[in-house]
Amino acid sequence: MTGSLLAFPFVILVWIAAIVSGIWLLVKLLAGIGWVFSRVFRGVGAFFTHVGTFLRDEVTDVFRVLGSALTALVFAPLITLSVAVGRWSAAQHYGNAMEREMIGLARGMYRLVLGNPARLLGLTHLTDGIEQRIPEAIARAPGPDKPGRATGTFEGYTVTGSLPGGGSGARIWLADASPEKVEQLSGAGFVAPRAVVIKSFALGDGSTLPQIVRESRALEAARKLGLVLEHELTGSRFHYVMPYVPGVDLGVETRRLHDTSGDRGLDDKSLAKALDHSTSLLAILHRFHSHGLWHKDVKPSNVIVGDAGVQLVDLGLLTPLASAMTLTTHGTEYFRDPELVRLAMRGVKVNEVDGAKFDVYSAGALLFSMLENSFPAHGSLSQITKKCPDALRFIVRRAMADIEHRYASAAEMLADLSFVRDARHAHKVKLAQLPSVAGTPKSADWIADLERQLSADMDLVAAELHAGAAGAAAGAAAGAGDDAGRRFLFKYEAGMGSKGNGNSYHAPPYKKSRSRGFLSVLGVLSVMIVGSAVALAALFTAGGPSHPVHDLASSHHDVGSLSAFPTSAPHTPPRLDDAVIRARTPGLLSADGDSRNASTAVIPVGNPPAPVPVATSTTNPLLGKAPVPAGHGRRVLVINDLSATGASVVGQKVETILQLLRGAGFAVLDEQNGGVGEDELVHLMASARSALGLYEPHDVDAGLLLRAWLAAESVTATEAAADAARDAGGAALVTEIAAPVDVVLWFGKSGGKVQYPYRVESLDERLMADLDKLVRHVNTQL
Amino acid sequence: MVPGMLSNLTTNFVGRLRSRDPAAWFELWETFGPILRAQLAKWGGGRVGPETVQDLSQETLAALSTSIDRHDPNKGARFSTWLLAIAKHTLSGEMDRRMALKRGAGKKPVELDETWMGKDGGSSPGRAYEDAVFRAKVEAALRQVERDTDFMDFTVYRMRVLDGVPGKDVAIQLGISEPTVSRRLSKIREQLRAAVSDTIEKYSFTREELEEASRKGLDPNPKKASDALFDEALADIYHAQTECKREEPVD
Repeated sequence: MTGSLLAFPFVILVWIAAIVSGIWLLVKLLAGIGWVFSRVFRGVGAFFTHVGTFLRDEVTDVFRVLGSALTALVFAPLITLSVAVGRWSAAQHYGNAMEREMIGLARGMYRLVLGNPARLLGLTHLTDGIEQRIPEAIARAPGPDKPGRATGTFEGYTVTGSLPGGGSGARIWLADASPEKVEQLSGAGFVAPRAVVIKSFALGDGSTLPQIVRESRALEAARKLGLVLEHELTGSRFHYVMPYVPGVDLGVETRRLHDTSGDRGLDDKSLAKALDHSTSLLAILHRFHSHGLWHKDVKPSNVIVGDAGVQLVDLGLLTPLASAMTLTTHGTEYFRDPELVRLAMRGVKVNEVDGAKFDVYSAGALLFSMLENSFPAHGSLSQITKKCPDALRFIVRRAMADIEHRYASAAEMLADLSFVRDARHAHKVKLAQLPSVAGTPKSADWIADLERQLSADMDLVAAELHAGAAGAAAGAAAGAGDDAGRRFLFKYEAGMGSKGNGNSYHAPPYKKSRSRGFLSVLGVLSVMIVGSAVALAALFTAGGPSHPVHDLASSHHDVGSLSAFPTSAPHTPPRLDDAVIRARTPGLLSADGDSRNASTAVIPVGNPPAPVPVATSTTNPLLGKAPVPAGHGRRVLVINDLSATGASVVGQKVETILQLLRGAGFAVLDEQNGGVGEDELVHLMASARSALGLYEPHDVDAGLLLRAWLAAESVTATEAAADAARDAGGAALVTEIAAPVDVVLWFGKSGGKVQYPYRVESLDERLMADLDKLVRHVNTQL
Repeated sequence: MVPGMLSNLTTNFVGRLRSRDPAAWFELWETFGPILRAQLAKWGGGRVGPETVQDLSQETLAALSTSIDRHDPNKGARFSTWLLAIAKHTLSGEMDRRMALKRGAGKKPVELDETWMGKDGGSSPGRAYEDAVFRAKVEAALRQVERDTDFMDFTVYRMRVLDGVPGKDVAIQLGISEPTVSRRLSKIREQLRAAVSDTIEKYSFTREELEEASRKGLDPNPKKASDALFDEALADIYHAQTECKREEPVD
């Protein structure tokens, strides 16, 4: 009885448990079925979405292709008509438009036939980016192997090939010097190799005056290093000749060292080589610095490792340490100290900082890249993860530390590095033993010995060049498939607003040269140089050859904004050599404009004319008391891209601003009223436009570019003032003297959401703020 | 203070951005540029190359400069969301340009979606992105301390904490005593706490962002017991950050 009483609840419990378990299993089963169905439906949905996307893309691309084809057809008769009536510029314009349409058509066809089907089949990674990569590779290919009529020939040299021109606006030719030329150069004291590189800027090839002026600035510095063989300026072309340096760049060498060492880091033998390269580089930098020069673009592709040792090439950014120029942000990200950018943004001058320390930073970054086989993405905080002596880790960090804590000089870093290199076991060197930590800096004798050694190395390199470079360079020029040629690559320069390795600011016309085209795969390098403003002036003084007058505006098809000039405005097209001289002399004011009296009429830039009454109000009551600063004759360059006319509200605003500025004593330089010679106005506009490229006022980089341009204009003025003062008797050169631009007022295109884009830039922060306030005021009041 | 309201420091920084202070913009670019690049590369899914990503990340900052004037701090959007929304807008513009090719001439450009200003509006950034933004803030603090302190002091901290070298070995390497190593460590740690706090505050719009440092082990209030935790958290963040940048895309 008792047993059955106990069994009853047990049976009940079992039943309850069985029911609960059954329900739980049922729920799980249903959930599982639901999950399966949801996955199936989701998969089906994804499939149809995928196919739908494909169909949509195909249909869209069909219409795009048709659109491109039809548009291209429209351009064909326009081109024919323009050619028939002799409108060559218009024909070229329509030709360019048609080319763009054809590229669009080709891309559309590619997507239609290959890209979209590949995506449908899940082969996205196989085809993605091809439509960008191929055109880019084509665009990077070197130009013709022989110079055309626009470039002309180079007396004494036979051109054997060309190299990609990079961002400097130059054409770069490989050439052989004739035996007579070699003899002539040898007579002039050069150890002249037969193989040379000729860098040429011809207006007919699309080079611009600002490019030529900029290129010419470092010539004097480059001459100190004996790297320019000769140069020439004519009415339409500027070129200079340099020896061709054989070797491979440090990036290639670094990969090679790591390939032989394995993934963990450099083995002892490779480490010793890396230390040799690094110490040689520092010795070269020390030599640059002791000659008062700052390289400014030390990076792996600019360091060439050859049989004769290490060479530092590409002098495109070479800057005198004592220069009065404002710092610019040129250089290559990761190898350029970020502090340089900060200082440049503050408008600090080169001679107000120790430029040599920025080279030291780059040397540290370079050592990092050799040890890590990577770039220092975190600047001074970058971590060396591969096997490496602690002492080297410390040296890299100290070289890349904040400018105040960094090695004081390349020599100090070199002392530390030499200590590690010369140690029996580099891995056992204690940080406390390093000369910079132990407080045992190298003596002046040690430095002197180093310089002697370096000098001997340079002679050795020169001898190597003389003896052996010719054949190899010729090989490089002869064909990409030639093994000898694979060892050589000319390194070309960056221009203003340049972009290094895709990591820094750029404007399209000045896009920084990357290691481009198939030649970049070939390895190597070269030497760069520059043309001298002084030499240009000297050439001009000598009378300069009389070459046909060149129309500046027509030579700048890429500077589309030049079309903003009134086409009917009469102006005498400047000659290249005239314009270069003027570009160097905008900082002088001539009382009477007579060049023969310039020696007495020259007034330095910093000497402002008599103050002009300040306009503080206008007749327009809406404007109230407009905050207009005193002009003092300061020059405002107005870049106006507004599509709105003066009759529109925006146009009226701009007119009002300009009127207020004129009333306050500013010299307003715009296309309506230059206030100065038309030639100079054309030059200023073209130069500014060229510097800005395709940027628009709201772009952050546009401000940097404008500042750099203003700084360059300002420096040319200062240099010209010094030259003119020095050459009091020879001031006949200064035919048309003007002041530099103090501020740029840039109105962007109207239309769209933002009706009133503008930018004010000046090296004078106060002036910039005042004008910005004025523009805002007018904008809100009218 | 209303939750989510800007602190003075943040307001000042935004003020500097609004007044177009180039140094402030560069600071923003230096700190968050790599994250924007990584995010844009991720969104681009291989269809935008590194060059374009570089350009787009600069365009993002340019778009920020036009948006900053309309920024309303009281709406409670996170700083990270702010960056992300603009980056997305920039990428959309690029894609529009590509798809439209030349026939986009008459097409209205993509409008800047500013719904992100609202607390619940805009896109919800991924966890990895949020972590990357936080790490970038910590890296900025590290950089700041490295700049402001004695090189050898920072070297001691770096070797001991970031490189994980034992204190005794640090002392031997630098030829100093172990107590000196400890003293220098404390000194730098104190400055790091302050710098992390300042940097987080500078780049935060909401209370939640402000408290992120404490949640992740970087307590700004010094406690003896928490020193080791602080160092450990900092080292973890630093290593994750260096790894992340090496691999580029955030996730």
